Amino acid sequence: MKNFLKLTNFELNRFSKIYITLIGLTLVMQTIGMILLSSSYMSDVEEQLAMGNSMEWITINLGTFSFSSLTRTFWFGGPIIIAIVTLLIYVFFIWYRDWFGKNTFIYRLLMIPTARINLFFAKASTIFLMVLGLISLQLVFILLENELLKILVSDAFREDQSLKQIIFNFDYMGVLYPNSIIQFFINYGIGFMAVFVTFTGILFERCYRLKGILFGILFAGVSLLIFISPILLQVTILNEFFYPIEIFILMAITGLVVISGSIWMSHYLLNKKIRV
Amino acid sequence: MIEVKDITKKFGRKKVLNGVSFTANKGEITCLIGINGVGKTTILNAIMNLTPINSGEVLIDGEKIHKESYEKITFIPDAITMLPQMRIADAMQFMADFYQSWNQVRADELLSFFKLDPNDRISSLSKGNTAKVNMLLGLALDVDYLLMDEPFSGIDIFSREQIADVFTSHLVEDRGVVITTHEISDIEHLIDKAVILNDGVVLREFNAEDVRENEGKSIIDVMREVYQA
Amino acid sequence: MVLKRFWKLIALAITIVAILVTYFIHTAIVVASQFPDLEIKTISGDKSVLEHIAITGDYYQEEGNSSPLIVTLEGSTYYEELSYFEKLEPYFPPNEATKLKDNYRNFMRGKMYNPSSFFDNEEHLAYVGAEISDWGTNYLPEYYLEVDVLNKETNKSHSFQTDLPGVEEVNHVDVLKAQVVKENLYVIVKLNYLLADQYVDEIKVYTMDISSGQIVGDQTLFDPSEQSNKDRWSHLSFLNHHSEIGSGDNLLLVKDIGRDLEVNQTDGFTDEIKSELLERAFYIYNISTNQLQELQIPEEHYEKLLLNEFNLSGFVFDTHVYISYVDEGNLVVLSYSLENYKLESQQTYSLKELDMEDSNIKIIDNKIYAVENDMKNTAKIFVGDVTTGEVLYKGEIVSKQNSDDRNDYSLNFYSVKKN
Repeated sequence: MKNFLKLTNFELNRFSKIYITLIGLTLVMQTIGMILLSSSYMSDVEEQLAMGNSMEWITINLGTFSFSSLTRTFWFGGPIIIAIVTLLIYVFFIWYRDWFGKNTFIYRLLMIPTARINLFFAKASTIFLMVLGLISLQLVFILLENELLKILVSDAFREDQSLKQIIFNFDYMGVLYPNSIIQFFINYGIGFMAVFVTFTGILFERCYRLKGILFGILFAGVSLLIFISPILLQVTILNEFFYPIEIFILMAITGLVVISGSIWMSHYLLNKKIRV
Repeated sequence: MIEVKDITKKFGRKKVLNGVSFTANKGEITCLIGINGVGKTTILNAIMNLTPINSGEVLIDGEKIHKESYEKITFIPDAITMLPQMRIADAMQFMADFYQSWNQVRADELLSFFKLDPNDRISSLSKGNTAKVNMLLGLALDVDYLLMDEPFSGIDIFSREQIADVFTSHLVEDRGVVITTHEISDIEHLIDKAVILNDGVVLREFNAEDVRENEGKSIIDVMREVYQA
Repeated sequence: MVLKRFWKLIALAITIVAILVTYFIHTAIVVASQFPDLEIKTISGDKSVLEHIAITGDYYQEEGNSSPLIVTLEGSTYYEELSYFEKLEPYFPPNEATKLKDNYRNFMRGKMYNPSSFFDNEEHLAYVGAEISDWGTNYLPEYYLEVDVLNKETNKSHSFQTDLPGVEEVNHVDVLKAQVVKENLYVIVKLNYLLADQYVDEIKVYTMDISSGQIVGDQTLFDPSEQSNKDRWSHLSFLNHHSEIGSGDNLLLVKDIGRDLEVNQTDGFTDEIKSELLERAFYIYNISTNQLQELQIPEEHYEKLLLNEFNLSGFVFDTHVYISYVDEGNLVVLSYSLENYKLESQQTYSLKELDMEDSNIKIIDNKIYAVENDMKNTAKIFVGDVTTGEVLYKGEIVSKQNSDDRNDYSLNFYSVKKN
């Protein structure tokens, strides 16, 4: 456990510069976007006012300014996409960086007197922490940017939105920020399960190289099949046999089977098949 | 005692190790000798469970390697195994974090012996100093066995001498050392036991002292004999 | 020392936990305060008549939040406020068929929860579902009947599938009723199809032998060719089938015949299609005796029934059939005895005082329930006794909070149910 925490902390530190850059980029881009968009809107408003149009006319023809005016632009979604893509790449890079480069750090990691599966858990936890960290900070950023909006745009032209409305109006945030805590665990559980399976796939490649890519893809395919097997059964031979709650329980079980299969396989590969 | 028992290893269809067996004792320096590509590094990797073997087994004091074994045996590969952006102090901290057998007193002793500055970044070190740090990280562990892969290749003469001095000092005394080399001349006088490898098999395993006393031959003489036969 | 070296890990973990916990608490509070708590406020009468009654409908808010809801004497339940697992239930509000799921979990697997597809008595639980096997070349669905009969004594079920005999190109099939009588299963279906360029309804009564799974009887209640008149449209509907699994033998049918008129506007330029109801007849069909009996409607009611095409409700309850309609703010109920099919009583209640424009009517246990559905943020409730004509209760569904600050929503109640 202690070694696991030390390893996790170590992995986190190794990526912390890029991670903090991602956080900074998100905050900076979204803030700049908010300032640019709101000032361009306000200058349009002032232009119309100067032309003698009434405030009602402006709110109808120009529209009001709300947080959604920002979320629909690249200023807001861009850094989120960059962060997602970076973390997706890092799911692979977190392993490959130990093999590649001048100093092959994997020697050191594999020779640490601790169960090798701790490396797997530490790397997975690092990914999870970084994902959840970005998700949480984005919430805080939305609140901050919303306060900024209140300063930049005057009441008459502003449509205030609650945090929930902002999230509701921004398509894919609904997946990232579900209302129910159970839905949250389901969404992120599936995501983290995918990370586990991808890790095992990477380890297959690291053990068997070219042939391992095939094994890895096969493993991922079988995992997916196992996970969705209740749904497959439901829509094919069983013809709506299961109640929704049963599907939920069955998929919780198949999800756990996939996760434990992935851990067990990774444990085996790290101990018996890994090469530096 | 490290016992390597009849290990085979294939890379694809190519057999790199074809039934290699030898032993390395505590308190002795055992040298694996062979030309490049003969599988010396693979043997060390196999001993450390860093690569799978196709058959055979490796025993360390009669046990198969397990996680606690890494407190008892360590491996110094031919390149340093620390992140380049780390300072020497960070690297030592990393070792102290994960190894109970880490001996900071000895590490400090080695630092001054090698004249290294703990605040230097590994990426900024010369080849020779990098090799010294690499040695330091392995030697400062209170382990019974030390495996070293080509510790003298590609570094300057003075660094070589300094490292060679380590072998005769108390830093290595009482430990079992397995060392690989394709260039025997520098360290011939240090070696207790030689294992000559070729084509994935052990051609000859012998005690250097015995051969010298009984047959009046140096290791190089034996090598010549073996390779030219 | 530990803090210093692990600060990134610790800081990140604390940040995540603190923010996410706050977020979910915030969300729970927002969701809870999103929907107003509704209550039933009594205007007059005894509110005990609303015990075991559930009023169901929808809630709409201007900003886009909407949710189905149930109002009872205990208060309001919104679908959106249910927990994740409660939301997994296939239907909200639950109907009589979904309630069967609790007792007959295995039997109810894979069935459509349409109450009219079920029959339930002491010996049997039967299901008949009209399912689509394929789509034909002319894009018309090909239907078959999925039948499953559970013998409650042996706890064994017998299921089979059957084509619909005498049905070829059909637009839609609706199972109106299933009924087990001795060894036979009676299934009443309504078909809708094109006949001589007119869409016609056809009501068929199939008799199935349960043990063999064969259709042994096939009867049409009204000749569809009669309906196929170029100038007229015609509809057949069941008034008492939708939300109940009745074990009664009697079905109340209404047959409407009307025509579409082009009404010349006074300006002479625009024409408007107006529907006019010409004939309306009520029938009681008894499954056991296979008798179709027309109900005689007194002249003064007949005229008003023609004028109020859509304000019609009908019920079969115990020994009586009720036909009810709303005319100029009056709620009229005609009661017929099932023994002799004669009009036994007629009651008129004034809804004017309650100012109920549009309402949903339901008769449960000799009481008539009317609930306003006028898309306002309140809804009036009226309860009367159909045997005595007595007004039992008047009330209103209102927000528990001061309604002045929450005027941005509307309520639409569409059903009253026995809970």
